Amino acid sequence: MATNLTKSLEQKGPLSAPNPQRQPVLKLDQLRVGYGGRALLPPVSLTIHPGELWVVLGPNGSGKSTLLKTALGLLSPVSGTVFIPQTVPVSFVPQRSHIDFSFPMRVIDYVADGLDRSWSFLNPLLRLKHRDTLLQTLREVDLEPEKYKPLRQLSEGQRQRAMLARAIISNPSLLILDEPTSALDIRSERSAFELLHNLCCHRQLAMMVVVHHLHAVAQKATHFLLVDGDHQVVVAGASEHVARNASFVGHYGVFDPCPGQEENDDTHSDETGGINNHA
Amino acid sequence: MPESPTLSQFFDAWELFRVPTLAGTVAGAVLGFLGVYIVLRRMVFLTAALSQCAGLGVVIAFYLRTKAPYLANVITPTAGALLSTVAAALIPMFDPTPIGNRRDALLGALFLVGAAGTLALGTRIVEEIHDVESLLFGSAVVVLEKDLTALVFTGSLVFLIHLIFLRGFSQTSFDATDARVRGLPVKFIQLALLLTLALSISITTRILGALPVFAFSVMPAVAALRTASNIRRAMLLASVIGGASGFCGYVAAFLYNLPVGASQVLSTMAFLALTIGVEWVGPIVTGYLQPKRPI
Repeated sequence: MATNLTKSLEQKGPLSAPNPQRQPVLKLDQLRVGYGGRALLPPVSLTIHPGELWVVLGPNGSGKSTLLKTALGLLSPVSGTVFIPQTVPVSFVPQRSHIDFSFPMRVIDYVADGLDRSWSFLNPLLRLKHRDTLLQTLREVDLEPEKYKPLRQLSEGQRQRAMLARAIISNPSLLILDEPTSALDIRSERSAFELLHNLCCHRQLAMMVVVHHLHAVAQKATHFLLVDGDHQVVVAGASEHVARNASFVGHYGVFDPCPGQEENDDTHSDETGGINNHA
Repeated sequence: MPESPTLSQFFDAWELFRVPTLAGTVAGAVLGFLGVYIVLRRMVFLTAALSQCAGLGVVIAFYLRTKAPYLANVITPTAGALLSTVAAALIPMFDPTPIGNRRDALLGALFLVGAAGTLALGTRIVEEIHDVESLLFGSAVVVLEKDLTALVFTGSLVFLIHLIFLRGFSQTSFDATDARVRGLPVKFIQLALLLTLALSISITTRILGALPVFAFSVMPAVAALRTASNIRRAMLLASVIGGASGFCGYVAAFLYNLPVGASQVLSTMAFLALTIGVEWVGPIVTGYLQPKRPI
């Protein structure tokens, strides 16, 4: 049965008014994504604010990456709009398989490349000017001791952290990650999400992360976006609310996003995801 | 039995060999650093196709000159090489098919059209047959001073463009998606990179021939990428290896009476073998020199 569950969440409306100081960093309005004019998913509407960690879930081939690419402007939407304010710098961490780690690059060169977001190609002093930021970022992802190592010599977990460092060094407001932990074991995956969660909190960074397995990130997520192209399902909203949705339960079972807290049936999310109980 | 030529004889006759030797050196150096992008972006087949198309452009120019001698000043072999190479480079650039099997097939078709066209048209211009052979196999013993000047000018221009766009070329080559997210004009940067390749390949093919041009654009970069820790060092090393291959190839051709193109190709191979040797022996020597810990 084809249902668009986004609609049902929209109708509930927010309980608490969104903070006007917190400008949204990304707004999808009735966005339909797909290829060749054919939509893969029902329309998606959501708004992401600073400090929110959105986890995008769904089975293989459900349209998660297509949605992300459309949000980033890499694909044209079938219909609807993507709004990212001009003042919001965006960084993207692609799937690990998209990166050619045989490139001759040291960790420090790779991360420093993330600094340049402009046309200033002829800027030999760029790295020197931002040396403190560079070292601070490497420390933040625990890669400072490896800074002169070639990328190809890093472990999977270290590569993932290097990719993250490259993405955050330019101090983005919105960070979008496509399966950042796909090549990691459970322990490394947990520590990677711990790091993402800390960045989200300390830098007030808005994040949108595509994951396959919920277990490592479930307690950190403030919002879920569940997509399933096969069943034409899109559910978006605050994590505790989406976790109670039938489609979510059907895919991931019963799950308590706030262990130890009493359930509050009055807590709702609007389509904007404006309620942020975890931020 | 005639005596074999010696190195001192080569340098005694330096004035005679100066221009072709320097042409090989400059071409090797320019194509060497461009080769780093070619190898890293897996565009080796593109270079082969472009060098063959450059050859076809030169032969077409020769052919048209024999048919319309009054246009000899307009239809120069260099202009023919440049036009055909740029046209060939733009075909895969604007092919909407994603990189994959069909892209390889397209490059294969370009290669075959260039090679077969050069051979077929070459038989129609008997008076220029020596130039056509030089073009195909790189047996150009004599290079004109004006060709060397054109080569130095082109090399300097390409080097300057790459200096300015180094970060852009490097970022779009490494991760084009990320570059697009950052708002870099990826299509424009890739077009600029392709045009600098087309320009360098067309000029060097006209002067040295397709075979050494292909070797210079691949082998020095392969050797450099085995040892360099970052792209800038790889480019510098590839440029040095390319230049040295061009020079040594010409000297070896004189000493052992070899065709220049083949000798330059063999030189690039020798440098690659040397790099692999250093790569193998280096850690053994380093390990041997390190002080042993007492047990």
